[in-house]
Amino acid sequence: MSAYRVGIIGYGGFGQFLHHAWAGMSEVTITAVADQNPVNRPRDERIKFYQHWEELLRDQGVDLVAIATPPATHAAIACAALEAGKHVLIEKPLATTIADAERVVETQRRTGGLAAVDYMLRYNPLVVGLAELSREKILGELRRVVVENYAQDEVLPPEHWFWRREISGGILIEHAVHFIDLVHLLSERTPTLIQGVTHQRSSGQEDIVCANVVYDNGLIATHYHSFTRPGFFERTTIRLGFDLGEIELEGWIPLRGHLRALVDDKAGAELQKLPGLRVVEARDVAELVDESRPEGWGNTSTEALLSRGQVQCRGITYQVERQVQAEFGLNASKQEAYTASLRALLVDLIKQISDPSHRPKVSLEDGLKSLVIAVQAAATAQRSLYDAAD
Amino acid sequence: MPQIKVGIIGYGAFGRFLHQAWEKLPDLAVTAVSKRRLQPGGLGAIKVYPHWPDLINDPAIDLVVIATPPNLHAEIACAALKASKHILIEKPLATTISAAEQIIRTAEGLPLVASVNFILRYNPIVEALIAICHSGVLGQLRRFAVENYASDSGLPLDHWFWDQEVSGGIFIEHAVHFIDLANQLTDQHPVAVTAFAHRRNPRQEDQVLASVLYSGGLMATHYHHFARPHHLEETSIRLSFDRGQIEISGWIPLAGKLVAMVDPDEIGPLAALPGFKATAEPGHLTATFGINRSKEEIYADCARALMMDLITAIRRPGHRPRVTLADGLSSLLTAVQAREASRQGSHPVVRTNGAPG
Repeated sequence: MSAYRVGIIGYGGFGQFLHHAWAGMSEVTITAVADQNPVNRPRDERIKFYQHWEELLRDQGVDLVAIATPPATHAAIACAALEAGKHVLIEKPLATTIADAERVVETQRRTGGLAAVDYMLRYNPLVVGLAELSREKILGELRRVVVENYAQDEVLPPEHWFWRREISGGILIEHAVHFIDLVHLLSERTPTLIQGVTHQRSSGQEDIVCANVVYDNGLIATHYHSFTRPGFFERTTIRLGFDLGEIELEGWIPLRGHLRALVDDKAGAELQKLPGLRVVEARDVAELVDESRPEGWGNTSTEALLSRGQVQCRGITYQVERQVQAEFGLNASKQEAYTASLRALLVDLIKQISDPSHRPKVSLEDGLKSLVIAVQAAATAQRSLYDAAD
Repeated sequence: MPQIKVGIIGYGAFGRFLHQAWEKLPDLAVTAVSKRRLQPGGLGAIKVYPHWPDLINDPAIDLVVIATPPNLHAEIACAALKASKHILIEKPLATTISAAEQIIRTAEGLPLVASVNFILRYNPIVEALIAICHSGVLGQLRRFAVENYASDSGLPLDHWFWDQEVSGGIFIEHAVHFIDLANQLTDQHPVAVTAFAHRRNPRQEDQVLASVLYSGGLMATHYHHFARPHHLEETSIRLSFDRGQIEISGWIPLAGKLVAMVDPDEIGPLAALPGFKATAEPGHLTATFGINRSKEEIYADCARALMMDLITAIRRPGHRPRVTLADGLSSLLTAVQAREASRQGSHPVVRTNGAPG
C-alpha cells in the first residue's frame, strides 16, 4: 500500500506543527501546502507550495487535505475540498456558525468523502482510559465536569485573529469546543440548558468566558477559559465528579491526574485502564469514619438499614469495598503526547479509506454537536454582556 | 464584667453544637433554649421553653441565637429585637428579600447588636485570604470557583433541607456562605447571575450551579451538590489572580496550596497564612498552608471567635461585629437571583438537521 498524500492548507504555526507531527509516518506523505503568505513556503522543495488553496485542491497528487486556517474559513475550504474529491481533516472548530457546519455535513454526505474534526484529545491515552471508565459507569454516574483553563495571551497580540470574533468565533467556539467534545466522549447525556458568561477587557478583547451546560439526569458541566496569563503560568485542570469518585486531570493536553474513589474488586481492577496507575492509599470502607456532619443535620435512619460495604447517595445504593487514592500519568512530554495523538488520529481516519466499515473515533457529527453548544453559549454570553451593561 | 446570658432558639444538632463550643467561654452562659419537642431528661440548670416567644420574653437573656430552619429566622429575629435582645442569626439571614429587609428595618436605630452566622469569616485561613486579596500582592482577582460535593447521607427525604418553603433551597440555605466569602474578597459588585438547578426527583433539588459576574470582571462559580456518600465529601475553593493561584480545601477550610509570581520581599500577606511553607522556584514560589487541627476543633474555634466578637460589640458601643445584617442581605440577594434564574433560565438547545439525537 502506498502512502496517502496529504496537503496542508494554512501553513502558519499550527499547520507547520501538523507537518512536523506527521513527518516520518509510513502511512502518509506531505506532498503540498498552501498559504497566502509566501514567507511560509516550506524549505523542502519536494513539497509543492500554493499561495491559493483552490490550487492545492486541483492538485491530483493530494488525497487528503488538512485544514489549518482560521476558523471562519474552515467550511468553505472543507466543502470545496470534498467537492474536489478530497478527504478532509478540519482543525477545530468545524466552523464558526451552525449553517456553515451543516453545509460541511451535507457536502460530506453527498460526496462521500471522509471528513473529521481534529479533536485529538480523543486519542490521548488518559482520555481513552477515562472514557471507558465513564461510559461503563465504573464509578457510578458522571455528575460533574469542570474545566478550568488559564491560558497565556503572551503570543496573542491585540491584532491576532484570535481576538476577532468574526474570524475565530470567540473563545467558546475557537477553544472550548475541545472540552465540550470531551464531555460528549465521556457521557451520552443530552444537553438541556446552556448559558454563557463573558468578560471583555477594556480594549474590547473578550478574554474570559464561562459556559455552563446542563445535561439530562443531572450532569452539569462548567467550561471556564481565560486568556490572561504569562506563558509559563498556564494551567488547565479537568475535574470529573462521579457518584463514587472524583478524578482530576492536569494539562490541556492531559499528561497526569489523580483520583479518589470507592470501589469493589471489579471496579478496582478497571481503574487499571488509566495509564501508569499507582495506588497511593487503599482503605477498607469499614475503617472510615464519617466526618461529614459537624452540623449534625437530620438523623441517619436510612443509613442504619445499610449493610457492610453499602454506601448510599442520591437514593442509589452501591456496593463498595475500599476507598482508593491513586495517581496516573503518561510517560511523555506534552509535545510527545500531542504529536502521538495527531498521528493516531490521522491513522484512524485513513484506515476508513481502505476499510469503509471502520468507524474513526471522531466524526464530523462530533464537530457539529459540540459547535451547537458553543454557539449557543456564545450567544447567551453576549446577552449577559448587554445585561451587565444596563 | 457580667456574663452575657444567651438563649438559643432551635436546639437541634446545630444548636447543641454551638452550645458545646461556647461552654468554654467564661464571658457568656447559655441560660435557656427553645425547642418544640422536649427530650426527656431536661437540661439541668438551663431553662427549656417549648415556645420561642417565651424565651424572647425571658428578662434574664441578653442575646438570642436563632438556629431554627431558615424560614423562621425573620419572625423570630424581629420579635427578639423588639424585646430588646441582641441577636445572632444562623445563615441565611432569611429566605426572602422582603423578610430580610424587615429585619434590617427593625434593627435600624436600635442600640442592639445584630449579626449573621457567616462562620467562615472567622477561619484563620479565610482571614488571611481576605487580607491577601485586598493587599493586591497577586494582582487582580479574576476567578472564584467553589466546588462543593456534600453528603446526603444525613438528609432523608423528609428532612426540612429539601423543602424549599422551609430552607429556601441550596442556593439560599447553603451557597450564601460562599457568596458572602466572594463578596468579602473583592470591592467589585455582582452585575450578572446565571444559574441552574437539577432535581433528582420532584421533591429533591440536589445540584445547583450559579455563575456570578462582578463589575470588574471577576467571575465566580458556585457549585453545590448534596448527593455524595459521606466518604467522598469534598469542598474546594479556587482563587485565580493575575499573578497567582490559591486553592483551599474543606468547607471549613483547613489546608491549601498556592502558586505565586512574587518577589521574596512581597510575600508578607501570603506568609500570614497559617502554617505557610514556601518553596522558591525560578520566577515564582509554590507554598502549602494549613491548620494542623481537626475540622471539629476549627469549627468550634470559629464559633467562639464569632461569639467573642459579638460580646465585644455588646460591651463596647462603637465596636461593629465583623458580619453585618447588610452582608446577610447582599449574599441573600445574589442567592435569590440565582434561584430565580435557575427556575426560569430555560435556554432550549438549538436543534439542527445534522445534529444527532
